[in-house]
Amino acid sequence: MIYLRYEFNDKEQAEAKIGAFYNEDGELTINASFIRLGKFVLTEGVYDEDGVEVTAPILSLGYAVDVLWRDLDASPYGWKTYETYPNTPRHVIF
Amino acid sequence: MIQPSLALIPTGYKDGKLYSVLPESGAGDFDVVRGSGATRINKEGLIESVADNTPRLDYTGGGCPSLLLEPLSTNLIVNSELNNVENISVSAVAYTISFYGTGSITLSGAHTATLSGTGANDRVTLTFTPSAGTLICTDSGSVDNKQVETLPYATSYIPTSGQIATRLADSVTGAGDATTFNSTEGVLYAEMAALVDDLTFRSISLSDGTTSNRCVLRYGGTTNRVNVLISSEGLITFDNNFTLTEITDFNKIAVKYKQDDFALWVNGVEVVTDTNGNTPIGLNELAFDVGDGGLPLYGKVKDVRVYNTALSDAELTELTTI
Repeated sequence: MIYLRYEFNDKEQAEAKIGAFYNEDGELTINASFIRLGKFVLTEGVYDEDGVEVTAPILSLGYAVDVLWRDLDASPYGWKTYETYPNTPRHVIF
Repeated sequence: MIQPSLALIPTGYKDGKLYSVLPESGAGDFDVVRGSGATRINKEGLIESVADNTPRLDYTGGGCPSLLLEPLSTNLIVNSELNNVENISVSAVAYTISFYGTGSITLSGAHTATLSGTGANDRVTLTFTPSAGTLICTDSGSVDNKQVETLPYATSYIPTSGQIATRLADSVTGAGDATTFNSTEGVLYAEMAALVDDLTFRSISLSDGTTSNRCVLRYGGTTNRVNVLISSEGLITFDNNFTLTEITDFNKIAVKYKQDDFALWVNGVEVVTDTNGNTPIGLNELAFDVGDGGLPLYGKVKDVRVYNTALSDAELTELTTI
């Protein structure tokens, strides 16, 4: 079992990668948990007292997905390129 | 009425195990896997953390507990206990926000709304679909245990502190063995409720560990639908549906199987029958999935039983009447 973090170019690419592990009945064909995290807010936006945006939030560039691969000890084919190892992860497993 | 060969009334458990009431040998105990912590509402009505792989007996609403089975969900709030303003990057899909308290959370940016609390121990929820962009959540007053998740309903609370956090899905499988069940005839019964009517398939099955031989009760496909599916040696022999009044309410559902004698019972009424077909062979596992690990049940379960004889109509009436 291994827990890895990935950052894909965009949501469509992430969904295509994940979708490849589902069969036509919508069943997952690999023992894994896919956690779709999307973009992280790196810096909070600033808003005035009326809620009007003063400074826009800064978002991460890619689309983040964390995966718990239960029967693997490394990324499957086509995933390793997108592995990421952030110094300060913004997501944890409870 | 005769005694069931396996009975689960959620009461006893330990790390990785959910004990069945019957059989007393322990062969009917379930394996529980959830690779993360989680929370439940305990007997006192309070939120309580539960360790990895520990089943959750949830007392939401009071009364007897139910086994709570939930999908993976992530609390997108970074600090769920702080009174603050948070930005969340969102897509145009359904989200649900929830909190406890008497204050309010005002949503702006990608969606505009205000959710007002009703009490310190009351959870309020709002499901909405924003436009893609940044959602701004601004707290006011007493707001505790905040949660925003990418689901069309609220799941159990996932505390966060400095990072968003994910509760992994519950998996409860592996009860019984070949000596526990009778493949020739029997009844699979469950008193259960779905978490939501979202059309996804969510199943309880008595099977040989594959989808070739199984007896499945499942939600999904059409609104408020319960489906019964029996297959024998890979061929479907009984496949019928019934529309419940509300699948998120507790319903008592039973399927009877015997050679050329199948029936679905719901809340005291025989709703579907079939007088043609073979029964599954080699039944050796009861699990909260479709038989091969897929399409798990996400819901609340108060009672599950397997009988090794095809009960009479009078017995099925008694068993399933609310």
